Amino acid sequence: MWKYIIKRLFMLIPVVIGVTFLVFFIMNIKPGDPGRMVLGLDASQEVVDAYNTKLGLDQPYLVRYAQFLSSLLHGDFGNSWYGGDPVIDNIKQMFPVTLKIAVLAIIFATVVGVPIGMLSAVKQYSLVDRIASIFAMVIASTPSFWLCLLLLMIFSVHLGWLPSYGLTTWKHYIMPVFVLGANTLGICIRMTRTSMLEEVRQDYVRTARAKGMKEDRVIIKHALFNSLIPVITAVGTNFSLLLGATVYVESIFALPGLGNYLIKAVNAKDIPIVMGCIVVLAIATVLINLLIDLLHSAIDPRIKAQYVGPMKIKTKKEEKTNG
Amino acid sequence: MAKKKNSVDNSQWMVIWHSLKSNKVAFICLILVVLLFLLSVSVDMIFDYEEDIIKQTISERLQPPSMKHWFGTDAYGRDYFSRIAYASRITMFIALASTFFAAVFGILIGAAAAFFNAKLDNIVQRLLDIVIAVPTILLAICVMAVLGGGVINMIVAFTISQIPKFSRIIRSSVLVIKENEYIEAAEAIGASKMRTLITHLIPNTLGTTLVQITMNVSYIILSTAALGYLGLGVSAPEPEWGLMLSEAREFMRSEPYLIMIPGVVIVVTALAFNLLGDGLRDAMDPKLKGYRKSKGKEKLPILPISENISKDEVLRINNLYVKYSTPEGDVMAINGVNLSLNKGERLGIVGETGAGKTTLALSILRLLPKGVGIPYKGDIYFKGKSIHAMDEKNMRTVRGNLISMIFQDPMTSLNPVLTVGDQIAEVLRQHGKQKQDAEKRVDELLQLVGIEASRKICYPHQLSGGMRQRIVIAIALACEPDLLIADEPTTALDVTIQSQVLAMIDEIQKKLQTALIMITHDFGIVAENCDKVAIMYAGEIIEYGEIEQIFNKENPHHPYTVGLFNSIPDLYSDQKRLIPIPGLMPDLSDLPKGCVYADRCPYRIERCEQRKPSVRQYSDGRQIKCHLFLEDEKIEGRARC
Repeated sequence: MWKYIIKRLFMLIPVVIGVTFLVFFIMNIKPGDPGRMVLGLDASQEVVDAYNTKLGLDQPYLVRYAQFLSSLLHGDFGNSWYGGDPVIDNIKQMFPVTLKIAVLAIIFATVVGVPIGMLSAVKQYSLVDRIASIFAMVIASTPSFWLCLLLLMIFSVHLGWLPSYGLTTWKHYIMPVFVLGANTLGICIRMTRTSMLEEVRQDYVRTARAKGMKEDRVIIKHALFNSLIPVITAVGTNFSLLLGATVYVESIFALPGLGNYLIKAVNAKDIPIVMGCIVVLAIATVLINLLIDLLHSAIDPRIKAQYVGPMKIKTKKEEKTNG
Repeated sequence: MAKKKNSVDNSQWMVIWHSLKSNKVAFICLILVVLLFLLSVSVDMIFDYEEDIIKQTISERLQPPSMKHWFGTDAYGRDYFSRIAYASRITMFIALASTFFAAVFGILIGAAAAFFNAKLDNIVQRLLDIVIAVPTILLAICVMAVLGGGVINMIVAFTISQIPKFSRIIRSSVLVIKENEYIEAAEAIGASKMRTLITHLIPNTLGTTLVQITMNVSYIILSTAALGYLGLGVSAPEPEWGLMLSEAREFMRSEPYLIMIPGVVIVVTALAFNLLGDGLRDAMDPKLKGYRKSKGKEKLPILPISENISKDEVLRINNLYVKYSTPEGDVMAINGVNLSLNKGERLGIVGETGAGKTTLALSILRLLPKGVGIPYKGDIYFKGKSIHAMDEKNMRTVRGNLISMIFQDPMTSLNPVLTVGDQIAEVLRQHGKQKQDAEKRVDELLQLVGIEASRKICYPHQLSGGMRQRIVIAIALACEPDLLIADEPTTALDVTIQSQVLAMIDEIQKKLQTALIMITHDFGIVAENCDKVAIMYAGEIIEYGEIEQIFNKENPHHPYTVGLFNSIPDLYSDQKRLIPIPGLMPDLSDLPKGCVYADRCPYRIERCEQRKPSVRQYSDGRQIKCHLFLEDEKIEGRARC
């Protein structure tokens, strides 16, 4: 198992190189003129050029990219073009905030979504099923930034129940986490329902019923775990979208997270910040995918066998029989 | 040839179209999508851009919705309805164009990667991994930030980010289709690979792509609005939903409609595309739809047992009728079955696929698919107690404990994520064994079915088919049931394993004096393992008797039985070739008025098609359901073999 995880971690390297190259390329199509922006219109051209040279902007594209990569290896993301502060320090401070609300949102979406989807499937075509399906579809079709505005309008502006910005008390978390998890919640309900419907028609579920087990035990023990596999995949795929959505949610609720930091940098064309943020988010996406695969193998021994290989299982078995 | 293929395709699309039309929600969404499209292409004809959309009238600013301004006016006094309607143009254009390009490039890349060679495929997959690692919206934000807003840039950004989705779907479909025989056939007749790719693969993946396209349009609509809101999309004064929302933000307190209306419009638009995609998927893959439960519980008639039951009688089935209620109509699976089984007796039920054997078995355990399989007449008595009258709790104490079943397919009958030991222990625990006793019993059972006890920690996929079937048998035998139903227990196994498994069932049956129902289509199995045989055809038992009686060719037999015997090879006969029974079993949703076998029967007479035969009861216990043998109907030329 560990061998597999390490192998997967090594596969991060080409992805990071690819992602940084792609983003670096895009950001350098029109690099802007940071010297002029920082020093103002009154500064002389020489001073501006000197500033730009100091940032390394006179170097050719590939050289700059190589420099970026080598400093990345040392854990250095460079300094902000405008503020001059090291990007890595800011990321260290802000990423935990983003990660915290993103993980809370995922937990919220699955903890609420899976039972609803399950109920919906078990009671197919009932009123509960209809309401849940419509709710899931609507919430999956709602743009998260609008949902932010809507909730803000209702609960902060008109009712005054929830604070509209910042992250100090638990109340501050309610709206950002709900909004961020909303799309995933919709997807979770739909996926659980679909895969559960497939699962309850399986032969082994019938075998379980033939054992005389209670219907709810049958569903939970035999159908639920198997039906979770596609749900986990969907949630994992959605995590990348969710990280993207932190950009609006954090900027609308003024949260001190990576998304907010990133969008400000994009608008200012502060390339080192943009690069740093995107590298971190891309690594997070890849790691989440790895985590999803590990979860799969924890649930399904067939998938585990693919990673571990037959040898390992044999020794394990021997251990157990000996002991 | 090409023409024929086309007509097949057409009819396939017709089926999808009809299915879509009958799905109300999807059909409404289709209309909505078409209307939206028409609106978006004709906005320039409906509105005057300068006059209706751009011109600011400060005197009319922030008017709430009224008859004059349906959606009110914005901060510059512009009619909100006109602006929202006009904005559909830009949103639809971006969504459709970028989806179109992403689909075209995605299909080409995905199909090419999967079709040509593994190396190319590998490289392409790694490149796509990179694009996927960056959240779509971030990629778009970067592109927009550098290149500036504008429709073309948005299309470029969305196209790039959506290509992987399409190419992945197409790639996996192509990999599946590539293995199909007709592709090989096309290559064998000398078609070039490219030609094959275009003529066969792309039309076959069109369905999945179409679903993805509708979903993608919806996603791009949301993303366009999001970019607009961030100020990275189109620039003012061009109306765009996201941009309008960001302008409306400061009026949140006083003019909530400015936020509500565009949001609802976006949701409805995205929803329409999503639901349409859902409808399309259902139309193309109806298997998930499930059947609607019939309204109201149908009361089952419970017949009192008239005759006195002997102490040994384990099972009695009285005139049982079962139907499957499907959207296409009722399927009559069991049509008046009578059976009786004593302790220790072994009954074989023989018949071709679809004769209702498994349905009969499931009815005994009351495990027919809920709301679909409905026993509507007759009753089943287990040790004198009506199965239909039993409540669910009592029924559960019967299942797995007093009556148990060996299922047909060992590959699918075991749960892949639980160890086999757990799956055996489960039935023991369910019926009252303590944990440690259950563990002990599991070891015993495994030994009984010839598997080392140490293998109980294995998962089903680690065992061979034969071993899995032994596990299924161990589960069925765990509680030493009074009645064991074996539903084609050896069909999925190869011949050598078959005889081992059968010998094992036989041994255990003898030891425990269990009543056994062996369902099979193999006369050989019946001959060796059963005392009595019931031959089923189209949900009826058409002949019943003791094994020697049925296999005795001197006895009169139902023409179907004769046909069955003629279609199995016999080492001792001079017969040169087997005689198959011509024709097919009748359609169970449209049963004939007369005898169910009349259509295929070589001895058919007039009355066979007019009314159902009753059962001829012989003094030695044999039963035949055929007009030819009814005593009051004297007919020349009876069937004899």
